[in-house]
Amino acid sequence: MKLASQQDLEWILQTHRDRSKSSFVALSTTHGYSASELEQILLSTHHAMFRQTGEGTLLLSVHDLDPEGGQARIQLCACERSLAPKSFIQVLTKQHNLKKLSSYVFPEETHEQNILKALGFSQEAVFREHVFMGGAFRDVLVYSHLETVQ
Amino acid sequence: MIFQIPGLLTQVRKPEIADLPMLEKWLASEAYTHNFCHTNAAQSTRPSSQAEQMLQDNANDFSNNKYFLIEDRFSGNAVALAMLCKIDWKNRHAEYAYIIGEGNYRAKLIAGDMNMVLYNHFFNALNLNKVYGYVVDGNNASVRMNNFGGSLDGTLKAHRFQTSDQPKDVHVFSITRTEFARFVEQHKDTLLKKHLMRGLVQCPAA
Repeated sequence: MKLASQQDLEWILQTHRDRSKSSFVALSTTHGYSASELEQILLSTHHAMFRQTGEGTLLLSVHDLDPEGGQARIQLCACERSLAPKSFIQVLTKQHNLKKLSSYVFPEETHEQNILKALGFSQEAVFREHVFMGGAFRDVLVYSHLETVQ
Repeated sequence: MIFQIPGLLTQVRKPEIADLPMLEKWLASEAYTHNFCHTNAAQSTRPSSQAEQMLQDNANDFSNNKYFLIEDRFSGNAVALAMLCKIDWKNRHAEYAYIIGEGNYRAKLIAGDMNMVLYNHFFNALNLNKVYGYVVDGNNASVRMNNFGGSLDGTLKAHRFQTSDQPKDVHVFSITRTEFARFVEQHKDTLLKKHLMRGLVQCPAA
């Protein structure tokens, strides 16, 4: 597994083109991303793209980074063959001295939930009717990971 | 027109410049800094700056934060500050918290009346679908109050690091529009009879 380079971007965008209704997008932006916005975001400091062996890809973004409170939220966009980015998470928590990471996912996003579980996250809460999408309110699962629980 | 929401025991208005010293005192109090896990409580800015920011947010029509001052309807004394923050107008939810600044009002029925009147404003005027709030573990009075019509969504483990060496768990409560309607329907002949008779609370449309 390696961090994707700029040359991988088009291939990764192609892989995740149909994920506009994922929690990765829905919990970050009101209208979804344009291609250029997504490119800009993915190349910024707090986002990571992974092009993994076996055609696996993973998009990861960091939100609500609060070094003072020792917390941050990560959002994932995974596919079936995605691998858990353990070393990236270790670097992220160490660099910002984070004590707790959380992540919000939709109940049907099993790939993302599997990645989170592999990273040591566990489900803590269900934010009921938290996102309005497709004419209905949808629940969001809250996963969290405490730095002391490794 | 002056913004004012009447209740049975309380009335709600926007904070004014003259209220700033009192708000600063409340925001600096231990009741606020130790028991809150709220967007504003997490900020490290001074209470005076927080209070001034509240007035600025209220003056801005497109702000995602709104603040309400609650008065005792009979004496006119300001007793509490309610905060509706991170209003998400697309997903129609917001983070809600309140502090009863005057200690001698904490054991009275002020909070119940205030919450009913404000929920009515959130669901019937602002058209929100859900309000949620965080309660630090051990704040049993708030846990009881938040169970009143709402639901526990979960407990965030060791979630509050700001003011204590030992991180504390935080309970997440919420009440949806549907739950509020159900609550009003259930208590229309008892607890909320006077509110409904005087038009202070209405059942939100589906």
